[in-house]
Order: sequence, then structure tokens, then C-alpha cells
Amino acid sequence: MKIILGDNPFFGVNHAGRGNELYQKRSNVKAGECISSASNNGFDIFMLSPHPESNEILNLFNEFPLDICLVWPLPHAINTRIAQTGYFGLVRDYLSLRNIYSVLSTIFSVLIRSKKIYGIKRLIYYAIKKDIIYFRHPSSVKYVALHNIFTDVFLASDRKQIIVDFVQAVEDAELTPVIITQNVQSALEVLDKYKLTNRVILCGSINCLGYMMETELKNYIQLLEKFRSRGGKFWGMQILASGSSNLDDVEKCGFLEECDGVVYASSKSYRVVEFAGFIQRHKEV
Amino acid sequence: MVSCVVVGCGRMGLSHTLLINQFLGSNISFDFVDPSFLNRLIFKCLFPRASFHKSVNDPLLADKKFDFGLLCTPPSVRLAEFKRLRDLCDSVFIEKPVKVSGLRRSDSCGYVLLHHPCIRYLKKNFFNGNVVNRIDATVISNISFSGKTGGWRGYDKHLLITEFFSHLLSVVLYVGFDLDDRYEQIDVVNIQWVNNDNVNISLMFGGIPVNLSLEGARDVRKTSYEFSFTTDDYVISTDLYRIYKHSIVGNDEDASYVANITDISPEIFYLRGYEFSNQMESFLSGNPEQIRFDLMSKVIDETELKL
Repeated sequence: MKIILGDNPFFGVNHAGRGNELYQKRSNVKAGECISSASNNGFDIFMLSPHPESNEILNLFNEFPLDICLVWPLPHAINTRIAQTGYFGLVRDYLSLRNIYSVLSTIFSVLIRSKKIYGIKRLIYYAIKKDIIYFRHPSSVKYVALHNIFTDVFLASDRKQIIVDFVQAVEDAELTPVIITQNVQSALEVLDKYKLTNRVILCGSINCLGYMMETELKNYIQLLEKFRSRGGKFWGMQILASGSSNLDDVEKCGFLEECDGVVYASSKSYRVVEFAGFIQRHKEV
Repeated sequence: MVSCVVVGCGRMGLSHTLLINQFLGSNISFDFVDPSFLNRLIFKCLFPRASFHKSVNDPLLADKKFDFGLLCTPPSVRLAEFKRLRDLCDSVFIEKPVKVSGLRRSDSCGYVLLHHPCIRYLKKNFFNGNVVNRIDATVISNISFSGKTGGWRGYDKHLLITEFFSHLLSVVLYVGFDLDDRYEQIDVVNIQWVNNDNVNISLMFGGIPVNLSLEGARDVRKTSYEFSFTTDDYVISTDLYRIYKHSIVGNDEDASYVANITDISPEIFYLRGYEFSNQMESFLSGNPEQIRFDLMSKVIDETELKL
């Protein structure tokens, strides 16, 4: 079972109430300590979004100790950019269109860089490559995950084919595609329909409380058993239900048996070590 | 076959369209209305079989009748388009209407926080019939509202009130003062507008102090909220992830996590969290949640007068 470290707590908090001890300036040094602890205690992968500040953390390492799963694209940054500058501002900034030369350069790159793929696939391929090259440790990127907001947008639209385009674009970049979703049931139907079961890793919410799950846990477990029996791989996230469950609950609920990986995020090194120990004990049992 | 017209193909139009599409499945047909070619193109990619129009006054729409209408245009044009959409649709969902009249029982207003599990829980378990002595509400955002903006958003004071303080007010009215005539006497006591990222507005609802704050350009991943309601015995607060109950006289404190208080539906599709899914379910039910929009309008009017 892979253990994956999430990056959310390193880039600001979701809930900023004054009662929240996280309501403070983020610390790259603490993030670096967490990553080192994770690496030293059996974590395999670091899930990283292309934040403007990502390299501040990556720069702390001469050689990055974990494989990186790039979570792409970053909806919060896109949302903020649209709110501040509108759609055209987003396109201008994302493609670095500052003057006529940069416009021509971008067009040239999109048209020339990949000769094998066309249309939406080519755009996705170009955009992913652009984000990976921006990273300090591009060779550590082994996985590219479609962010759950985008996956769920495509699942709820009439154009589910874009998920296939994403998978093909990532495969053309010789990386492993991951699909993150909060609607595992709907995603499994699409993976099955487009024959993607063996080609992607599915990553979705799973916990004892049914929190942010599309259907109840026993149905999830049945669906995942079937998916995995046909060669599919599943990474579980939100396994502690935003802090409502504890590790004992997780062990009792029995869903870890259906996980090929688990995602865990904390800004505290001791919690990362504690979680690694829990997974280690689970593996031994 | 259910028919739906969506006016305004921006981010909110997309969110609500995707949810209604997922809830009603293949039994829905869409018409989309937006003057922007780029917005129509994005929607065309996602809904290739839909019909597209530049304006609600498009003659092609004149003879049509829709079951549902989603109105997600910029605030400055929302009211005029609501009147047009009301004629075309049996039920209309309006994204955050600050001043609106002519709402029917089947129409719904896009104050999404009313549908958040924590806010629903507070309403049901703590304040249904109980007296609130003081309310503090804060919106904390990673976005800076002081710089130059693009799109339809120019962050003047009116837009900040419409976009952010209306969210806070909706919860204040829903949880604290909804449907109670005692609180109709509203006074704007003080406005501290340091800059567009640092605003405090103090109000009195029938003698009960209500403090609304905006903190922009903060180190959070996305816009967050904090609400605090004080009664004789407790201060009950939520950051929409947990509900804290602090005793005023003693030291006892409880905290409930959102996952523990959420009514889990057996089958529900998630896009942007429970509150958006709940909101769309409420709209489609034909009997959506309502708040006192007359009080909302009154507060906005009084606040703008004092600016």
C-alpha cells in the first residue's frame, strides 16, 4: 500500500476561524520538516498542486525524497485569478501572454511540442508539461492527477470524454494518470464505459462516516472490490472524515483492504510519523 | 423531458448547471444565455447538444416555456433579467439577489450558506425560538479586493456589500432573526472602511448588536467564514468545519465536527461541497428555503446611505 502525503495544509488553511490553531502564517520550514519525516517513515508519494509557492518548498531539498504526484490544474488559483482579473486575465496570465512575442511563442509551443496528439489532448499535454517544467524537481514527478473539482465537473457534464483525453495526454507524457473525485460511483461507471480501469489510479473520499461520499460505505466497498478485481487501483482520501474519525475507527471499518494507497495531510511532523506507524502496523496484521 | 434555461454562463452558472444536470440525468434539455462568446464556447464544450442565445430577449426564446430557470448573471443586471425569466419559467433560481420583489413560493435564492450542514444544525438545534444577544460574522478571503480587477467585478463598495456582506447577512437573518418582527428596527451604528480588504460594519437589529467583517488578502486557500452567536449562557461559533459551544459561566466546551452532524443522503453528487448539492435539491423540490429579503434590502439600503 502506497502512503501519500497531501499538500493542502502547507498552502494556507481551509477554515480560518480564530479558534483554529492553524490560523497563522504558513511555514515552508515546517512543510519541509513534514516531508522529511514522511520520507523517513515510509511515505512514498507527495501530492503537490502547482501553487505559485510550490517551489519555495521544493527548493528546501537538493534531491527530492519522494515521488511527486502533480495535482492538476489548481482550481483555487484559477478561481482567484478569474475573480480578480476575469476569464481573459486568466488566459493571459496562465499562458504568460505579455506581448506579441510571448503570444507567438505559446502558439508555437502548443503546435510543435507534441506531434502525436491533437485537440483537447494536445492542450492538456502542453499545460501539464508547462507546469512540470516549472517545478524545481521535474524528474520526481511520476504521477499526474486530475483535480477532483475538474473530474467532478466533467462527470456531471455531457462531455465525459475529456477524462479520456486527460488520461491519454498524461500517458503521452510517460507518466501515470490519477483521477481524483468525490463521486467514486460515477467515476467508476465512466472508467468502465471508456475502458480505463487498468490505465488509471482512482483516488476518492472514503471513511467510516460516509462524509463526502456519493453513496454509503458498504456500497463503496462492493464497487471497489469489483473494480480492483479487474485490475483497477484505488487510493483513499479523507479517510479521517475531516478530523471526525480516528485511526481506530479506520481500522474497524475495514475499507483499507480496498485501498492500494492512502492520502494523509498534516502540517505536524509527529502526526505524519503517527500515521506512518499506523499503516505499518496495518500492513503487518 | 425537463427543460431548463441558464442565464449567465460564468462560474456560478457552471456549478449550478452541472448539479441540476447530474440530479435530473438524461431527462433534461438546456438553453444557455450569455453575451460572451468565450463563456458560450466553454459551455458548448461541456453541453454540445444544448441551445445557445446571446440575450434573454432572443426571439427564439419568446415562444418557449421552461420548467426551471437559473439566473447567474452579474448583480447589476440580475433584477431586470429576473422579471423576464419569471415569465418564461415555472421556477427560477436567482444567484444572491440583494433587492428583489415578486418571488414566488417555487423560486429560490442563491444564498448557499443557508444549506451548509453547520448552519442548518445551528438553526435547528440552538436557535429555534431561543434569543440571541449578539452576532459576529466574518468572511476571510485569499482574494484581495483592493487592486485592479477584471471581468464584471470592479470592487467598489456597493459590490463588496452585494458579494460578501449579503452572504453574512443571509446567515444572520436565517439563524438569528428570521421571521421575527421584533427585529425589524435596524440601525447602522458604525462603518469602518479602512480599505477594501479591511471592513467592519456594526448594526443593531431591534437592539441586538450584529458585527459584520471582511478580511481580504489573507493566507487561506479559499474564502472562509466564521459565525459566532451569543446567548445568555453560551457562545456558539462555527467555521463551517466545526461547531464550538463555549459556556459563558463555566469552562465547559463542546466541539462537533461537520462530518458528525451532516445528514448523509444515500445517493448524492458532490460539486463544491454539501451546501451546493443541498441548495439545488432544495430548489428542485419546489419548496425552497426562504429568508426575509425585505430585511436584507433594508440593511443594504441603510448601510449604503451611511457610506
